[in-house]
Amino acid sequence: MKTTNNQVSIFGGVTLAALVAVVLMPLLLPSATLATEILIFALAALGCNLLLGYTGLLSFGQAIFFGGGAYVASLTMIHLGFGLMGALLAAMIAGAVLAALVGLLAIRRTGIYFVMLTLAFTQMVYFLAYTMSDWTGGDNGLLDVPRPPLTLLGFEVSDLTSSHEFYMFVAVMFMLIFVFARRVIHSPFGTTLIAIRENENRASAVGFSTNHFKLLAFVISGGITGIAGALYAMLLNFAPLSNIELLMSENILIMTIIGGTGSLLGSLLGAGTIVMLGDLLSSIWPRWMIILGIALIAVVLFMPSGLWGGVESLIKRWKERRRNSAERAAKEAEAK
Amino acid sequence: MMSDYILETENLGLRYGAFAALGSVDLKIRRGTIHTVIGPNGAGKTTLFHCLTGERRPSNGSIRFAGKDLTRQPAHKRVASGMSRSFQITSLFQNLSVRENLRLAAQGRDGLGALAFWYSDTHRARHLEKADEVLERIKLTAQADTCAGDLSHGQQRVLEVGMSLCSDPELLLLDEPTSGMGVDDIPVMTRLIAELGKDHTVMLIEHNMRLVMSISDRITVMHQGNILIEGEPEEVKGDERVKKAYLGESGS
Repeated sequence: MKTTNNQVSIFGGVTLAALVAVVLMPLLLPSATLATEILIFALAALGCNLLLGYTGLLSFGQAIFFGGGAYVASLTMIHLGFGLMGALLAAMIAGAVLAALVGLLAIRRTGIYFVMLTLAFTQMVYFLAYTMSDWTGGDNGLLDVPRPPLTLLGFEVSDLTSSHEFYMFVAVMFMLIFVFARRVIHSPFGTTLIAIRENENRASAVGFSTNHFKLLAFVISGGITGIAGALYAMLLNFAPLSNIELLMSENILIMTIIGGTGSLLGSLLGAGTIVMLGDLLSSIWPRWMIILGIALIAVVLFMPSGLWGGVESLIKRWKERRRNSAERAAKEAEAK
Repeated sequence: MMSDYILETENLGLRYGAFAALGSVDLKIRRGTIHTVIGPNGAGKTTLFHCLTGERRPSNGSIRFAGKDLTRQPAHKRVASGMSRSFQITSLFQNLSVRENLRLAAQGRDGLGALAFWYSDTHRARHLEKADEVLERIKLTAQADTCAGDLSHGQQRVLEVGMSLCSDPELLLLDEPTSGMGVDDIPVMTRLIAELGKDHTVMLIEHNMRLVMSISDRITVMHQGNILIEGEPEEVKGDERVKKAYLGESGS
């Protein structure tokens, strides 16, 4: 039997669905700023998902990369006069380097000890950022972060001052990174990550040096999260200390889990749900985080594969029903 | 000149405090043979196996494989050296398809080459070809798209052995391949190992005596951390010391 391997196009299917969502969001949501925030956190969740969903690593270190990216982008723009792309590149590198440092030490342990190490790192880096207030602004945050214009080959494409223009820029960045993440997942590297998630012992026995793979997963995750942090600082014109807090790591993790691990669209869905819930409820009720807690408990208990998992099973059921009725119709036609 | 022996251990031992799980083992495995290690419980078979695969680091002695000393080489690097293993307790990627299990195992030989994240996993067609070749060989082609976890226990054991074939190893190390298998499935495994013996050197630990006696070229009997005797199946079968070791030594 000649086997057919289902070729996965990284541009089709899921990517198309993401593109549709990205185009529709500013039209359906009350403000472009809200849509921008969703995409930024979707990027952070995407980075988290590579670790949690694909490698099986629960990292509380994501805030370090997010906050680190925000600070580095802001500082390079303020003090060194970096442009938009330069600042984003600097943030990506900063996120990747920070992730390499955290990863290098944390992956020496597995399970609960790994989780504790990432937690400890976040706490430590938070206090470091708090103390270095000359650079980070400490508790007040880093103020007056610019949003440089987008220039290509010396031409100014857009000044990005309006919220719609900035949304379009973030949307393009999101799609580029989304396609990149799909490439990563369907590569030899990505399939090996899944093997490590499934059975690290066996992965090592067939010849993979699993720590190298986990480290690279960290670096890629950190780079993506760093870019998200930088975009967030540009959106707010401000880099708050809360970017690098443990709570930020928790938020990113919650978005990833609620959306559904192991699917990139899940990260977009999760970020969208949490950011919108926050926007909607925080104006009505200051203790809205209680509802978030309940939502998380419900998803973990009743929808272990997250909201996207729920959507997928609905689509599957709908397709089956359609196939069944088509078969029935065919049979009836035959009977006649 | 290439040595006749693919694997040689010298004075190999592993101590846990005062207890020697492995005393001093000189084991030689000839190229192209099926070499079985047997012995009563606690004889040190599994410890020996773990030292050979790199899971445990021996406290003394050395391991030479294909002319290279790999006593201190970590487990995952031994695959690229041409050594491959199966597990006594089935250890598969349960939620992935049978074909993907084998493809990943084939990809394992690339080692750090598999860190490539910029091209598609189907780009390396040879891993898929290898997976299909092994599927034919272990007769699971019809189950190629089934989740490994949904296979019957017997089929999982066969896949377990199949995984170790994907790296084109020179030496196959099989840890109790029939472990937990039903009587009906054992002949399938026996035939498979006998066939693998035609183009691989196979070293296995096994309890099923019928299988051991029917396919082994050479048998090493271990007892209390050391080699008791080594010989061809007929010699071992008739040896008084072997019977004694299995029945206990209350008389001596």
